[in-house]
Amino acid sequence: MKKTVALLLAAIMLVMAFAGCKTENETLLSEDSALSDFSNAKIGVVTGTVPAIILPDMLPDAEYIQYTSFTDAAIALESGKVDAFPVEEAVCWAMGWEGLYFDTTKEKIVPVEAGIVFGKGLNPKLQEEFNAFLKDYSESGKLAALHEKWISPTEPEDIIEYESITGSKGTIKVAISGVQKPFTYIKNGRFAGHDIDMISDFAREYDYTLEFHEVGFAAFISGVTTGNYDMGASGLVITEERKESLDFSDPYYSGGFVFAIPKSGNEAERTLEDFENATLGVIVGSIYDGYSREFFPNAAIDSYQTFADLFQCVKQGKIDGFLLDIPNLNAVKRTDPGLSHIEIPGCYVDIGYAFGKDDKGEKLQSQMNEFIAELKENGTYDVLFEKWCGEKEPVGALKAPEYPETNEKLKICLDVSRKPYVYLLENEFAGLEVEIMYLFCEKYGYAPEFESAQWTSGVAGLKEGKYDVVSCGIYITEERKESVNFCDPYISPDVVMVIYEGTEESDFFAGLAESFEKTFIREDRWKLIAQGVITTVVISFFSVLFGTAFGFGLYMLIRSRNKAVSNITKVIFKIYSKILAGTPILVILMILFYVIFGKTDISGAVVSVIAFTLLFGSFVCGHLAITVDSIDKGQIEAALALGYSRNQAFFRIVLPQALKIFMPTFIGETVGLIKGTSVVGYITVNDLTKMGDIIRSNTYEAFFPLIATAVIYFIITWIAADLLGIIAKKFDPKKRKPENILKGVAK
Amino acid sequence: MNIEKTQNAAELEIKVRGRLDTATAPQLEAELKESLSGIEKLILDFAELDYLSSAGLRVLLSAQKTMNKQGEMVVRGINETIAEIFEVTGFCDILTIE
Amino acid sequence: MIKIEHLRKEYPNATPLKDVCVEINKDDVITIIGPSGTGKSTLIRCLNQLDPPTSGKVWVDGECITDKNCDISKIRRKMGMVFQSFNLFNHMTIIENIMAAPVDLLKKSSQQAYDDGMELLRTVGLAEKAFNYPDELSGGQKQRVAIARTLAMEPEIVLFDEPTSALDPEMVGEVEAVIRDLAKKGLTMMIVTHDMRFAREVSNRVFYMDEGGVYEDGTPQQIFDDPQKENTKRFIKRIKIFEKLITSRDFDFIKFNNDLDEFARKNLVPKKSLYRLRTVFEELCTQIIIPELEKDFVLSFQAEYSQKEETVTAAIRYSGKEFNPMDSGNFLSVSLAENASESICHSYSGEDEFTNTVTVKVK
Repeated sequence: MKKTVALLLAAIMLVMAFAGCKTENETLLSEDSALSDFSNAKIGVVTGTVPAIILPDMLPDAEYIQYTSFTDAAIALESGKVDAFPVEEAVCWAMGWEGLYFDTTKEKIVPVEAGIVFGKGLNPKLQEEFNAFLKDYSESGKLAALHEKWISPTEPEDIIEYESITGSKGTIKVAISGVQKPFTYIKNGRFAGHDIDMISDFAREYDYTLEFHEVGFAAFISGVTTGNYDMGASGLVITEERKESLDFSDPYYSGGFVFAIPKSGNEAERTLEDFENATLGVIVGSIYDGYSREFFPNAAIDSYQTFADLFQCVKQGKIDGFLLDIPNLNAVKRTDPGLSHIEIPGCYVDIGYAFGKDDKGEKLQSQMNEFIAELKENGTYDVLFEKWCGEKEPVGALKAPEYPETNEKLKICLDVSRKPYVYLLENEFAGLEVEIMYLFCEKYGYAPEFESAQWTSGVAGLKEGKYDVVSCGIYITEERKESVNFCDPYISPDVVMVIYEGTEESDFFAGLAESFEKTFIREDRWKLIAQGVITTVVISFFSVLFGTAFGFGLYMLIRSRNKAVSNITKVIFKIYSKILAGTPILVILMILFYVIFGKTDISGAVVSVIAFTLLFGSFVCGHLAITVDSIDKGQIEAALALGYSRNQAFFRIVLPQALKIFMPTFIGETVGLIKGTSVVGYITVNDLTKMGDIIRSNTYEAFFPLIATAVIYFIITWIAADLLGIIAKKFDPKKRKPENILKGVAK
Repeated sequence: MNIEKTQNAAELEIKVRGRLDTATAPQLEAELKESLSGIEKLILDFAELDYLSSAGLRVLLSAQKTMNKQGEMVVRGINETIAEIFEVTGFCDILTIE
Repeated sequence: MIKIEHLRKEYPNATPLKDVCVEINKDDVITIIGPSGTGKSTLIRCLNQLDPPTSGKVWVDGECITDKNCDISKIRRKMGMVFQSFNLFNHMTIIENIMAAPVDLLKKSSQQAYDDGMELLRTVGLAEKAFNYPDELSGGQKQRVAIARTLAMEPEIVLFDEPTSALDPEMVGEVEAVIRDLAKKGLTMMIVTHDMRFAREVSNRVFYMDEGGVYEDGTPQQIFDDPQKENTKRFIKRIKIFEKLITSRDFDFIKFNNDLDEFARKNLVPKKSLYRLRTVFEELCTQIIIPELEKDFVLSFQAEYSQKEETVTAAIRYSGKEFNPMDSGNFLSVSLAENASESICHSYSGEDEFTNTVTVKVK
């Protein structure tokens, strides 16, 4: 029962989280959309038309809704019942006459040609005549003029007097559709349209009496096929299938089906003036913090932690925009076309590598300067730039080259949140600066040792000698030059104002599936998460294990009969547990990592285990003392009176009872510790939280990685609590099974 | 000890509550001295008298003597123990007991 | 078997045992009685060193157990203790409680310990509860188990610290029955108890503890029927004393009466007795004796109320020349005093500070 309730709560939590989040529809439909962008769309098709037949094969996953006319489909699009509908270009123009305006995709679904139809083999002479007429009509430019007249945003006003066309060769009955603007349609009770004009001209020229017959589409086809009508005209598209039962004239019109999509929102171009009083986002203490305040003194400035946060917030509308160098924006834009930018004249940044302010740093600095100059000279730089900062995302991981054993090790800190300079591609380090670094090392005989950390840690590490290089598309500023050496800037990109122009609507579940795919599947990101989980579990496990042993050991020392030992331990314990209780664990971690163990090589994970062991040990000792004290002293006296020694009495009588009381709190504290380890990312440990963050930086998605992280923690702690609960049961003497009490004794 | 006086023309009723002993007898004595002039009938209500010692007896004797000249004195509401005291000391002959 | 020499136990606030010298023989069943705070429990707890004595020596079977080098745990195995609050091990079943020490300390096999334990449980009538936990038993049952647990170690002497004080009256009997049985079987025991009747019945020796030591030591008949010493007597007879010293004619009479009321209330002196006592004091002391005494006098008024016999006696002692209040001419007071008493006796001795003594038996 409890488990069901818990699962239900987890499910509700998930749903609520998503309800509040606006998922990105990565494929925003616009004029520039490719056909593939419609693969999951709701498409309204007019029954029997070419797209209705061919689209299901081209886009099998789309949903198709049948309509009887283009007008119906258009109305459906307007009301949002469908995402798009295929329409012939000319027809779409004509819709504008009725006030239905849509954007259309530039890419054609399928090019088409229109022709006049005749019954198969029924009137070859008429066909010949018409084709001849058409040739003339076309050569003389009349056809083009007709196109211009009818395939336009405005409806032509003039009226053709077709009724008065009489000829001596006889009457031709022409079937037309009354609803095929702009080819054939009814206007004010009369027929009008491109084809009306054209056939009128034909009849006049070839001396026929003209009879238009307006029929529905089905009758149109059958009528022409059977010869009821001599010709059929309505901008009919020439298809092989139709050719089976009809003869077509030469094509008189070339066009194509495109997708009509809703007109995009406010098209008005935004300018920088619009940001006078806007809300801008910045990263705390970054160079853009200063720039934003300088360029937009009246704007409200909100501070955030990472670029991923800024992207998320501009999409959600929390901020109106933020400053960024353009290569970074372009890299992100590849997967997020809704992003856009406004140029800021005169605003740019210098980017380069950072080195320590010591001899080695100076040496590296001059080497790098030399190297970059060389790359630029021989054109390699441009190749690399094109690769990483181009339109398309590079495919495939960047493989680290093999370096000879003898190469000098170079410790490089990478902050993987800076596409395209430094980031993770298929779980490997990748980016412009990374590839340059690989080449640099090859040339100068270094062997790179990369470590992923926040750039602030990296800069601090440069000072300590922990790192030789920090690479993350770091901005070169005068202030920073005071503490680190920079190479000359290898790129000085413009800074732009990043804005968002897309819409947020999307199918909720499709968005969910997409987020899942991005977070876990793409580039095997689940492996990162698995690594994070292992790190978190390992740190937690050892902290609890050592902490328990440590705490228990402390307690036994406090209990010692030797007054000196007992008192000294008591004092030490009091001091250290007071310090731990009063200081946030994050601060303790950082002091241990950067100060106490700063000069050593000890990894962040080991420092974490040390810190949490101390913390947990403090709890274990203190709580053990309380629970032992709570055991009624009378039982100890009874044990002593029976002849037990103090220690025997403690282990045999007191401890079993104390442990039973101790365990529930122990389980609670363990769960707390597991959650508490989520801050170790600050000392460069890639635990579950940090991995979720890394994924967030790469996908620019906020919610799914976060929610996934939360759910995984929940699962880990649940499992831990359950396992410990089973152990706890062993400590509860009352929960022993009757058969197990006094095993081996005949009763 | 608590003394409650009720006067009705020439009749005075005094109700004594508590103990009449060496410590409290003077209080009653003073009270009587003050109130007895012109009284023809003195009623002493001892229903709530808890204890009577020789000191109290002396005050009663004095009061009886005074009332003998002015009129009459009556003691009423006494309990068993007090009655016994009056017996043993011969006061039952001196006092008018109701 | 046990010899206690000048045993002393001091606490920061009190010294319940000042100097105890006593010998305990095999097969003795000794009950230890006395008022609260006189060190009864302290004595036996000093024996097995649950409270280590401040000074003094204890010898058990010739071994000095108060010696620093002595392994007290080993000695304790020979001495059992049964506590007022039972102190069973809550995390073990009843039979495990009994088996624990023999298996852990005497290295008995589990099977042997089990069989012996079940036998003991049968003796105390609780075999069916072997697999219950202590919190499932009543107080009397718990105490019987505690006794069985102690017996499992086959001790030479068992110390009982107020074994029935924490029990509801209905359950006292079942525990006393077990103890009685053990006495019959010849087990050496020391029992601290408030239950005089039981003490009389089961023991062959009674220690009355008072004034920091074994105040009086005798057979039950001696102690209960014919106590020799003052305190013992008072204790046995449950005598309550009210004592006042008067040194001036202007003493606070009202306070005296209030204190007397308080004494009477506390000790449940019957109303009539109180009345008469008060009369005795007021008539004899306040009215007759004190007015007679010279300026610098001392007068001691001591009343004794025996809860056991429900009698009140008063002793009035005063300094000065020989003077019998009954001879005074104060008819009223004398008759009242006489009326309230069974007897009034006066005696004079020139040697004491209190030359005159008047003893009154209040009705």
